[in-house]
Amino acid sequence: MNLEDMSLGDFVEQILVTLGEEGMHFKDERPWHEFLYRLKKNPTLAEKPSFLGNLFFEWNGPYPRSQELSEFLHGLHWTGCLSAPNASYDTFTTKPEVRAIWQGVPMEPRARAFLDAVSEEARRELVINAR
Amino acid sequence: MHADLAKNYPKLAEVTGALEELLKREYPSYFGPAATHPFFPLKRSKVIHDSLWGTNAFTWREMALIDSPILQRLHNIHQTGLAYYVYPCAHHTRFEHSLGVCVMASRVFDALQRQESERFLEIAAAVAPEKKKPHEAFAQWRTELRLAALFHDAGHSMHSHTSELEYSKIPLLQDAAKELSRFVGVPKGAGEVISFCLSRTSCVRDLLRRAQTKLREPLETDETIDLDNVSLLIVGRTKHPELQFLGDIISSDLDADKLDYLLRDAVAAGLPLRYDLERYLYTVRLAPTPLADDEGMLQEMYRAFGVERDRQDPDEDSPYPHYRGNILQLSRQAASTIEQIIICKFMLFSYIYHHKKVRAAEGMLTRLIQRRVARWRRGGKGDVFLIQQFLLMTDQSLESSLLNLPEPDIAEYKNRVATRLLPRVAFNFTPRTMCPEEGKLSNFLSQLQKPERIKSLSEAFEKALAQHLLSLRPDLGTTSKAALARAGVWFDAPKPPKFDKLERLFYGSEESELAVTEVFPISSWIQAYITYRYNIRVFAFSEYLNEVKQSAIHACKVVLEIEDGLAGGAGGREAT
Repeated sequence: MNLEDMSLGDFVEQILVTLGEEGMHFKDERPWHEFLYRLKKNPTLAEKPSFLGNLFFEWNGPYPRSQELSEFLHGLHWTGCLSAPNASYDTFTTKPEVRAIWQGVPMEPRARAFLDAVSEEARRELVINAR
Repeated sequence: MHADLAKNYPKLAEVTGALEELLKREYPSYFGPAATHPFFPLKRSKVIHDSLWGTNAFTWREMALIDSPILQRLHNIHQTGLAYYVYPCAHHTRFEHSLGVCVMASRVFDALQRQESERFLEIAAAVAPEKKKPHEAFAQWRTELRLAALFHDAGHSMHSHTSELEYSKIPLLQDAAKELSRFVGVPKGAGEVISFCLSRTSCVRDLLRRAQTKLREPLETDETIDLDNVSLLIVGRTKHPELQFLGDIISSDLDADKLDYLLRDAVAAGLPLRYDLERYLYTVRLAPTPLADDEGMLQEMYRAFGVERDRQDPDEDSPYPHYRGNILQLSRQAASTIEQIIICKFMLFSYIYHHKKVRAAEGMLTRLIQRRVARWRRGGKGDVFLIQQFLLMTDQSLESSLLNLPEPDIAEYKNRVATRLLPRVAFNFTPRTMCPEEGKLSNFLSQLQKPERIKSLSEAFEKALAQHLLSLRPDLGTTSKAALARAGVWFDAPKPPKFDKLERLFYGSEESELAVTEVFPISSWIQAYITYRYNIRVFAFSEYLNEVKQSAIHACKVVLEIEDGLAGGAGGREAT
């Protein structure tokens, strides 16, 4: 996968691969939206995938919200890529067999460097009880 | 269009210009230089009876719009497309729905005014200090709201959402939708662009101005309205953040549109689905909420209309620059109503919108429209022509010569749609389909959720299927495209229903603030619905059913890379 070709969905999948078996926010999408918004606006990242520049955030509440991101997160759930073992659906994890497929996607060095650069923030913002 | 808007949003201006030119050309007695309508003197109000909402009065301004071709054409557009092929009574139209949304919008408004009377007075004092009597401000908001409701579906074309999917591909409309999204800070589609732009034509302004001169009796009170605000309301905004709840009444997850269509579609189809409207009205409230604006879109929108609003710096309410707004919310007591609305919507998708025969009929019509557009394109027609054509098209176009296409591979499509000789489901699978390599199926389904992948994946599946089909039936043609068309084959992956903004609209009480997701596991409900009721289907004409099923199984092996194939079904095993 090239940095230029990386889509929002590709990026979310690779973040989920990076976070492995950690339980992540699901019921509350806000951390996801704000994480992506910060990446979009972050001037210190040397290179960014082009989807970030085009990602539209709506302004209709207390924080920026991407409809595309919201729909993809829901899509991951109903397609069976994620599972929420807890009855209250507080957190979710990626199914190991799906993660294995995403893990096998060949990654160009610049794309890998970008993912490495943002993975720590992703862990801090998206993993439950990580802060 | 306002000069500044035209300069900053040239595509919106171009669409508005195209619509204006069309209205003047096609309906000169309403919109031409010597327009005569409204012809007869207007009564202050008129009563219209609706099968769902009973007797309701519409004002002279509303009647001028209702009686114009902008809304009258909606008489000829079925609300649920070709669903009447499955539910014979579902012949209701966008016209009665538009009147219904108008009625619902003002009922929600009246309920809010009743329940939030003090807050209304405060807001009127803040946003309309020039009005000596606050009730004049309330009356203006209500009038603008109802006009926006009448306008909200004015952009629909032939068989509603079936044609919308096609005209949404017109580059000028795509660019205009991007401009409109940037303008109002919320993603908007092509249908909303047309409704928004229609409302901004001089044709509409002139019609309403003329209507006022035709009143039987002179106005006794100030009935001024702001048509800019009507346009903004159509796309869920207003010129003042304090009035954001008015935009929510027209465009949000629990808006007047939904309140009408959920019940109207169910009743027309004969489905016993209901929600508790009275409880909705009893529990609807205003909620002070910061409207974050870090990218400055809202600020730019207000400025485009020459107004400057009080923008707050980041504080404890929001970590972003923001405006203090009031949004529409439902209180905790509405829990059961929200459940009913969500379940109603899921069931309507399952029973009507995604019914296999409805999808089959709409899929054929889609292919006919695509070919029609391709022929126009080959004839050198541009985007403006296409937009105008779509606005002229209604369901009656199916019976006209417009869709008489000479291409032999789809020559029979029009007749098949008109006589309900529809394709059948040759193969289908769902997230619950038995699969030896579950991860690959989940991954394939999730790839279909990526907007940039759905087209290429569908084409890859159809190509693999067609190549196999041609090996079984070489008589179907020499190319994949021809074979698919002749056998009536396509890969159908509809968009599932979504409720992705409910958390904004619900919940809370003075004692405790609760997000909707704290009470309803919406995501798990959606998952349950889709797991059991969502179908990826491959359609085919009856005479090719067996060969297409074999070829679809082959395509699964090729595209999904599942060694032992997918144990998909063949239509009859679907839950609905």
